Amino acid sequence: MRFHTIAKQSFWGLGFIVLTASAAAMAGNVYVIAHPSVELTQSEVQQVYKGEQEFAGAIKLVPVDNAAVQADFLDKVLSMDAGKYAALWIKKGFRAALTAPITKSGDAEVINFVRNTPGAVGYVSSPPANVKLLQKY
Amino acid sequence: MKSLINKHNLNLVTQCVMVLAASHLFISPASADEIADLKARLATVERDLGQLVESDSKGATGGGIPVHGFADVGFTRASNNETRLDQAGHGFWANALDFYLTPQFTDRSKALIELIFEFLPDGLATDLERIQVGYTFNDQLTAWAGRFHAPYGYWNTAFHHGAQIQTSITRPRFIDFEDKGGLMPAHVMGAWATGGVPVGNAKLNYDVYVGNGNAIIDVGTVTTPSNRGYLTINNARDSNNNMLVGVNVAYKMGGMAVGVHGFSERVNIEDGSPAGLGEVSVKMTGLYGAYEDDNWESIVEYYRFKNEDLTVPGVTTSNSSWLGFAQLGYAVGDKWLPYLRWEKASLDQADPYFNTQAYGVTYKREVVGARYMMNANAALKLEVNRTKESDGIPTSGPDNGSYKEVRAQYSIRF
Repeated sequence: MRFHTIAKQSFWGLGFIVLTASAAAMAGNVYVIAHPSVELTQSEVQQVYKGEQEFAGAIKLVPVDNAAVQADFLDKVLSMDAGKYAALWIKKGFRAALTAPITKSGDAEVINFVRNTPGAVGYVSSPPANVKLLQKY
Repeated sequence: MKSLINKHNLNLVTQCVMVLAASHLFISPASADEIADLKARLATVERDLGQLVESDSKGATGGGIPVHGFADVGFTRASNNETRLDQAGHGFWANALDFYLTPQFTDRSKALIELIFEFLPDGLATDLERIQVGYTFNDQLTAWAGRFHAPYGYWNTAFHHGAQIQTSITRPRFIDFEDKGGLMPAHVMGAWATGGVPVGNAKLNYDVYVGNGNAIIDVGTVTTPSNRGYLTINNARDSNNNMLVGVNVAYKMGGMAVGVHGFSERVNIEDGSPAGLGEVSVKMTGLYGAYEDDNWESIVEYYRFKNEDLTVPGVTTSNSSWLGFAQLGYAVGDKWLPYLRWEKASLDQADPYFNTQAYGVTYKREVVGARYMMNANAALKLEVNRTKESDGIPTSGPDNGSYKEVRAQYSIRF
């Protein structure tokens, strides 16, 4: 009897979590975050990820991509797809010796990197805690 | 290298553990000791996970230098079959195999190293295409020193040996590489300052560069069909102590760029004799524009030369010439991009700068082609061009100065 109750509660509990996670994923919000040393406008974030801006004041920026959220970010912020984004950075590297943003696998990695790297800028899929939020898309 | 630790899975496992632990707490009564134990274990997992992520992040940041490159192979069918600097005649060819890497030494110090292997009529050649070391002070100034692509116009720095990202198969003939008969230096050995200043929603970019003055060598030898020579950039030293100085300013907004450019230098003309054939003072000024978006790939460039012939001591003669091209490409669907190019050079044959270069003759060329993007990293192109030369090139014989070509090219990037 007790086992049955636990199983039932676990089922509904996990179901709630899955539904919540799915809803969040479907909403596809993108949160641009940065190291506390960095302040950027929406336009500047676009310039950074297009390789047109490397500095915020005297601070050298370190943009980072989030593989789990990249498609949403490119669509909402840069209005391009992954193919065009890759081609853009191939050209930037070949023409101006710029290095494409490093890619992290998910929110946890991006948050950890941004929190600990001066000049870092990244983006995640859920409202971040304990890290500077620049914009929400 | 792929991380040995799959953090994504580790995240999922940790989250499941936390969910089940939380469920357990809600579902069954637990003692204070059990709760404290669970909290401690969760803290340990969180700390370990953070450390793993951090260490992997550091590894990703400092891990190796990626090498990229381009390569292309193709086939040409030409109406004449001479070995010329700018064409292959009939048959298959493998053009350049281009490797480049962009090491970052610190957050501001960097380099660009590009090495190519290419087949020339006399065998396999290796060329240290670019070796430039730079320091970025801010967005307004990056200083480079070494051998770099000459920053004039749009084409020369945008494509160069990057065949896969170039709209067409061929370059406009007069801005071809020096050893392919190009009439201007495609490279500079020297120093270069570049940067950009925001202007509203646009950007004003600039390039200022100084380098070894060029020379025209092998004049009067049998290197080329007309016994003319070709331009060399003096990689080891400036042969006449007259530096090349150039400026390029461009206004860029979105996919559009319009600019003005110019350079000046004194060019030695060398025939192998100790005295050579003298010098020419070269002054180029011009305009260019480019527009690139999801559909359009279009470039227009114009160059005007006002040169002074210094080959006769005490006598200075001025000569004027101009060169230009316009190329339009428009995407049809996601894969196809047909393009057209018209190019023309009107060159004063009294000017030793042009009349000693193999292809320093008045000509016009029309180009029609199409590019098919097989995927993001590979392109197939088919191109037809017609060239008509005049001035100084023999009008009879196998190379009568007019020829047609059909070219096919398969190009990749990696």
